[in-house]
Amino acid sequence: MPSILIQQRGSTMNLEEIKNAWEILDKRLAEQNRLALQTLTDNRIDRAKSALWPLVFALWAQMLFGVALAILFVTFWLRHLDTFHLAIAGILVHAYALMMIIDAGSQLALIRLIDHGKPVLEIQTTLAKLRDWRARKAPWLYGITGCLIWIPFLLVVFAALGADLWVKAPTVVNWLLLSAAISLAGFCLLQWLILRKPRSWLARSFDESNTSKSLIKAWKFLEELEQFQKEEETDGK
Amino acid sequence: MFKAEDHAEFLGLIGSHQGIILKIAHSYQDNAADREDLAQEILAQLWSSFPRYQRDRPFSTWMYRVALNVAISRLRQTKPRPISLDSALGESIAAPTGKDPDPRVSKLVCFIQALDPLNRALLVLYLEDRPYREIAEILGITETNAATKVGRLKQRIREELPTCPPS
Repeated sequence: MPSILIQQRGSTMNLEEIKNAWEILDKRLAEQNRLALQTLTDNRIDRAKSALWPLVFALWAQMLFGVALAILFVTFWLRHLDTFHLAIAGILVHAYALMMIIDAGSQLALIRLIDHGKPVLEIQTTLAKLRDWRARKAPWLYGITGCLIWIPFLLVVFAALGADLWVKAPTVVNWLLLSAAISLAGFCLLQWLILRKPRSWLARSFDESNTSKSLIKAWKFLEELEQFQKEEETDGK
Repeated sequence: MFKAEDHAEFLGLIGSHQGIILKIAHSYQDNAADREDLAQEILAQLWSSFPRYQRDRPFSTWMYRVALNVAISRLRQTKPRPISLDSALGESIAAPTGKDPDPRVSKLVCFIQALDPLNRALLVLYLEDRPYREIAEILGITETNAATKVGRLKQRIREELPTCPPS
């Protein structure tokens, strides 16, 4: 009988009694609950909610959108190889579309590699890192490129409509460049404030707005995992 | 798509280990509807991961890993949501509620639900009398560390269980 005794409102519980309480719960669950296993079919699995399903759906949408843009813009710049600025604008937007595809593809591959039958710490760390990428690093990638990409995007769109802004309205282009520079400066300032005070309301709002809801709370968990692993290292010494 | 024999094998294995799903669902969700949803999600994940299960390894170890991974991931998600209690698991999984007529069970459930997800997994495995080797294998830590962590957990039980309300 374990020697640890636990006071419980006048009575005591030792570890053996705690295990007995667990067994009582076990029996009660066994009596009251039945998993309807016979209803388990492929169709049911398809319908089953997966924690990562919204994210997977969003990533596939991103990938398809990226493919559509890439096809659209590759045809554009191939047709404008003789006009330097339009070719460059087309290539830049094409590169942005490729970045969207690669980003979505790599995340989908990571999700596909997640095997829930692997050890808990391994899987939970992978999930937390996936979330960390979406919450902390992807905004930088999309934020900085997003501040700039709309300029070549507008040049391409207007050129496709028959108006070469670069030639016909250079002042508009200059204004666009100035706006982009201000946007970029604003974005960098925002990121600097967030990094300076990562637990501020600003950081939390930015984080939540940029993160897939299916992984929204994983960042705190990454800290817990790190703590758990630190304890492990300490224990191992 | 799965073969009929895989389906039969799976059902047989789950049938003899379904208590694991129920207990983990009970340990990780205090709301009856969420418990039912979690049990359903664990079952679905077990089924979809079953082709990767290595037959030479104990089924229970693999099942604990899958079930705990799903339960922990779900706990990390957004706030619990109302769900439709559709057929598969039946109404009965909603019971028992958090308030148990047995004060010992009620206190234990209260203590479990106050733990963080990883220590909760550790406690469930300890209460299930899993050997340290298996606990280590399920969580992905060394056997020595599993033993140390269980020791710390016992200390926490001694210190924190009395503070849990019995119901």
